Amino acid sequence: MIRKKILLLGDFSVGKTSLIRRYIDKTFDDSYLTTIGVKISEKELTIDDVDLKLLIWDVEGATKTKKIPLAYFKGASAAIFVADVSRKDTMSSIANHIETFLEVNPNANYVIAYNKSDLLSKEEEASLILPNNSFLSSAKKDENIEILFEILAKEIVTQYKEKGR
Amino acid sequence: MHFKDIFNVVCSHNLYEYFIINRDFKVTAYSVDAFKYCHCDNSENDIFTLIPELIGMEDELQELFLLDKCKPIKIPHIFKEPDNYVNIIIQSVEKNKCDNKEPNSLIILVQNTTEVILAQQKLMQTANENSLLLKEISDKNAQLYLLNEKMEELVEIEIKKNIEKQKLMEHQSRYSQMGEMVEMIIHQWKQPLNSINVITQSISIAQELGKLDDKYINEKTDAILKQTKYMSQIVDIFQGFFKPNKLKRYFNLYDSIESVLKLLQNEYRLIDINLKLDGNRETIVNGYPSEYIQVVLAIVNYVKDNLILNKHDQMSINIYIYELDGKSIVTIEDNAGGIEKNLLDNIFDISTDVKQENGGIGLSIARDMIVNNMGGKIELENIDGGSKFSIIL
Repeated sequence: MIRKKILLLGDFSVGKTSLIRRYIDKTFDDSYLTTIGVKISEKELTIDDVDLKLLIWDVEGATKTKKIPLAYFKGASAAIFVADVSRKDTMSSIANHIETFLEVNPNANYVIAYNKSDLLSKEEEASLILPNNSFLSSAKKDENIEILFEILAKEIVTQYKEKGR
Repeated sequence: MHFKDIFNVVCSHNLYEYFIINRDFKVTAYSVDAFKYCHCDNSENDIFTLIPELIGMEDELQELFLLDKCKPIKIPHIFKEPDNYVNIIIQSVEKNKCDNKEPNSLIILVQNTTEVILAQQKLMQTANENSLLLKEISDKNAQLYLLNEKMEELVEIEIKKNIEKQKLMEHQSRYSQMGEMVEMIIHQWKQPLNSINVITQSISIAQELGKLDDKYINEKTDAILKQTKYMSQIVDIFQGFFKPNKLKRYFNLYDSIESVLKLLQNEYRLIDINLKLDGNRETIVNGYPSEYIQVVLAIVNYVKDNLILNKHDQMSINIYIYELDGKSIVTIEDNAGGIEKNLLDNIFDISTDVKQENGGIGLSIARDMIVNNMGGKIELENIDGGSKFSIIL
């Protein structure tokens, strides 16, 4: 079994913990509890006959005054960057998160989750233009959660098969 | 003292635990309670199984074994089930720069920081919640600002529309006033024209009978001149009513209203409406007399139409003038059965001004003249068997 580290990164209160909780436990809780430091969850998958254990790092949200310790980024194979579609500032800060992450892990894969899509009206949803590797997601409604992890898991396995690590 | 002894002393305070690993990442030594942060017991010696937080950091750990890579790695604030927070610090040990040998072991120090982190968490929770609240307030403010701007725009558009509508109404009103004036003149001219007709016929008969002399001609000419003079006076009177006069002046209410009612009497008598004026003959008001008369005419016409719709034997319109608290009040009462309740509150509105649609100076313009031009009030109420308009100036 191969073991790989995946990070969830983004501003505070964008729903990183809820995404993981929905993916691992299939549950959702509306109340907000700030994550401090990092909480690590595990998920075992089999992709193309390869057994894979994902170590999913739920990293505390960044704020204007608090930056994420770079030590968290070390050794990560992939990341999910999370933004809250109802807060524009969290969407615009995604680029910074990606840049910082790629400085430490230049070959890592990533996807972007524009979360809390349940807060958008149909018109707002239709007018939203998303970059590549991005998904509108809702932990509350369980929309596009699995696919975020599946895409990264597949890329990790492909890379593993190609490079043997 | 050996470093293990030193660590054991440190770890006895229960805040620190340690693992020592070799180059194969296998545990070679550990503090007594080191496994309390792991999911497995001391039969397991693979450090990545014991501390999965180190998965992916194989390269970084390898580097620590190199001589010149002695900077420790610190991973802060890792949550460990069930309710602990730890810092993980990894450093090389047994390094001996003198004999230039690379270190053979790494020490992984697990520092319990639960108390500090829990205190920090409360602060962060409050700070983040406040920040979200502030953001929400700021968003709502922005929305309100936009809404306000939009409202101002809408109000401006509506004001412009109303001004346009008002202009159009005034324009229409002028045409209808002219129409009314012509109608009234025609009505008042009927009798003198008839008289002139009779006089000319009598001249013709007198000529046929040979009775046409100078005296007869002079008499009849005087009679015709009298009638034409009367016709000319009628034109002057009506022109005076409808000529826009922008000079505010004092005028006698009774005299002004009486002068116009005199001209209407014949017409109203023909349709069996008793038109009566009574009250204080001395009341003087400051305003625009021609506009005031138009307002009275508008109301009387409106009331007349109501009476025709609800025709009965005793149809009457009573106009009464009096003074109260230094104000002049003219009431116009009818016995047409009253105004429908839903019309009562908005009869002076443009949208419900029926008269305006059908021609003639409407009640909305009448209200406008009294309220906006003369600073007065115009009221309407239902009374027993009819309605009562009050013009207060």
